[in-house]
Amino acid sequence: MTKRALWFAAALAVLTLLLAPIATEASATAPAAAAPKTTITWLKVDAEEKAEAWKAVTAKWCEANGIHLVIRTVPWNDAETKMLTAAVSANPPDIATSGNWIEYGRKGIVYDLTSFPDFEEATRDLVQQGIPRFRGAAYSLPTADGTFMVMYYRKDILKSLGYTQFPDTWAEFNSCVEKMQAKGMKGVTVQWGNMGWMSFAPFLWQAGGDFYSKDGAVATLDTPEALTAMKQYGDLWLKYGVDKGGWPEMEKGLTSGKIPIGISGLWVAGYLDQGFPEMKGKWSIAMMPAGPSGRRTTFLGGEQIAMFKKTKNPEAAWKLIKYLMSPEAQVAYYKAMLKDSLLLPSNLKAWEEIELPDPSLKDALYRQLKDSRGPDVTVLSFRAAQRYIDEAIQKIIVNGADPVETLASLTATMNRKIKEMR
Amino acid sequence: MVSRMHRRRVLRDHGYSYLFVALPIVYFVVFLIGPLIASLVLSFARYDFLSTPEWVGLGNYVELVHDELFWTALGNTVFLMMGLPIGIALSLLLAVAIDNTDRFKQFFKAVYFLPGVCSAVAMSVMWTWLLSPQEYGLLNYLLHFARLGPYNWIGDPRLVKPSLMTMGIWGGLGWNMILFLAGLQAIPSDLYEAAELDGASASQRFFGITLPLLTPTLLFVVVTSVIGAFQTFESAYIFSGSNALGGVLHSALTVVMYVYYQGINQFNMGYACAIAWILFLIIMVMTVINLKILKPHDIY
Repeated sequence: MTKRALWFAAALAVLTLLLAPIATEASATAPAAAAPKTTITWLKVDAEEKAEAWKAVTAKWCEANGIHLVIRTVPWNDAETKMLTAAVSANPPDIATSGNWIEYGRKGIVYDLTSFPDFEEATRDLVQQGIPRFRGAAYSLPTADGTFMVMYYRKDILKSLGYTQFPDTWAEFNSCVEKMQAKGMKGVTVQWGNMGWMSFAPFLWQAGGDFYSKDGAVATLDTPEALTAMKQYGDLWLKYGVDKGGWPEMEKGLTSGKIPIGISGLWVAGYLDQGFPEMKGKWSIAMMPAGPSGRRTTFLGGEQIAMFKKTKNPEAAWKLIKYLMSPEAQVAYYKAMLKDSLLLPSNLKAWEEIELPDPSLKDALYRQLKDSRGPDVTVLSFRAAQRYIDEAIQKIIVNGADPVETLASLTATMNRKIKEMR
Repeated sequence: MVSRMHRRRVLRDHGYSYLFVALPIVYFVVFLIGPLIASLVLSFARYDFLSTPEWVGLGNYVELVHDELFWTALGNTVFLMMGLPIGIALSLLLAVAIDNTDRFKQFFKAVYFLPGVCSAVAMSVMWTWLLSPQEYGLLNYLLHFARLGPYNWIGDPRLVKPSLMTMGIWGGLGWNMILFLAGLQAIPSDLYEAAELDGASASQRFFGITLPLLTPTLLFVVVTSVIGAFQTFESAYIFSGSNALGGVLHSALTVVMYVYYQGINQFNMGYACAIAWILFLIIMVMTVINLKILKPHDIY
């Protein structure tokens, strides 16, 4: 190769690499320049098909409202990293969905949505306990991609044991599992949050306890209610032999009939029939059995939508968020996703218009959604405390530690964390 | 004057080479050296991404010494390294066996190398299926024919580390085998012929010729395997059910997972950087020890 050719090749390489990002940027913005629309970028956790469904659902509305919606997806296991990078970037997305926005809100990265004058009206019909409030502020809203913990069970097996409906209370539930075990079945499993704070939370709430006092000033896991909850929860492993740790294969247990009851998230209902056709018509969903408090409260998780303060179009972004929260959009999204997954609306009004594949489930799911709670994200030290709660649960179940002493020591640690955060 | 003219001529004659290397160097400085220095500086600060870093001096390092979970993570990581000698010995054995095979050489090479080209995440997921508790996992299913088990290979704190170790040995087998095969082919065959004429047995040939002459390869394999073991993340993370703290009683928590937990999960980026730098120092010390023990220049 001649020297001139080498110079040319080197210069071309440098130019290509330098100009590539500019070229990409130009082609990406070209359509927006052609049509005078407000571009709103949504950084969304979860799978691409959900983004596609939202795009289809919002297409007409966006057209009518002059919004060009761009949705970028990130997987759940990468969500924290991407949200942090977005938060510190000079040009973050306008809106984003992820798990917890309190920290971002406290640091002034995302909007306190209550600052919009029509906030109350726009969120009136949303599941209220799904809106995390921090000192009066609401930094995020629950989307229609939410999920909560439910009981899956084999109708036919329970019927053969003499149950016409799923056990109503802890005592009935225990007796049902014992009956199954007497017949040689394994009985029950916990899939979502096995031996962790997430699956312990419903038992704690059902016993009338809580992680913290109402004002969030002190931890309350050394109360008689917490001890009662731990006894019931721990017995699932210690007495009834639930598999320890990991992600137990509840679906296979249900299919074989060896584990006729499983605790997991609502998403499982979306694929049980397709993935395990032999289960069709044999399974159902029930509310969590009531604890000593008479409540059946369950754990509510899923996506929360927030708006970055650096957005250049807060009004358009808020308008879009309101539309995403509306019954119209949520019903359309529910229908669009139904073939793959069971994603229930966070707007209670939307429930009037949806039809479940098994209509008999609608009432139980609606009541369970209304009796559900998110994690205690408003107590700032809760994020750091989760690890200690998990440890305490596992020490009791795996190492046989004394529940009273372990919960007392856990409470002291959680109180120390509260002080450190202050 | 002469020197300036000389420099100009060099630039005119070879300037294009500088252009070719300019971009990789810029990339190297911006994306590798820059973050490296930044992480060192941040290791002396309290930093949560969202606020301005706050200088804490050696605070993070002092905290680290008293952090039980860090020691658990380090202990687990060192435990996982105990599988390395087995893995390396098996790779060497395989390499020697394949080197002495006349038929299906390429087939065996490809089969054993296959795990090395698969994604660590995909392999880990596959292993969680194999090791699933109850009779749903293949291993437990096979064991039930021998009236053994079922064992909770992943959920039982006593079994998860040996399970991870087994997967690590299996995953690294092919890659190390290929390196050993390359090393074996570089050993002159006349050495073996001479030894055979002298009446050396197969084991004498292996320990007298093969092993000493493979020392440079062995050194490379040991050093890279130790570094790899210290950086275990994906498999332990997946085995823990995507729990950043290593599942039941932190039994599968590794140092890199703890860096991830502190940095990304708890927003303690300064503390995470301090852990990363301690890990770097440990790896460096281990590498120096390995180099000292396996000194290749003593043989040649």
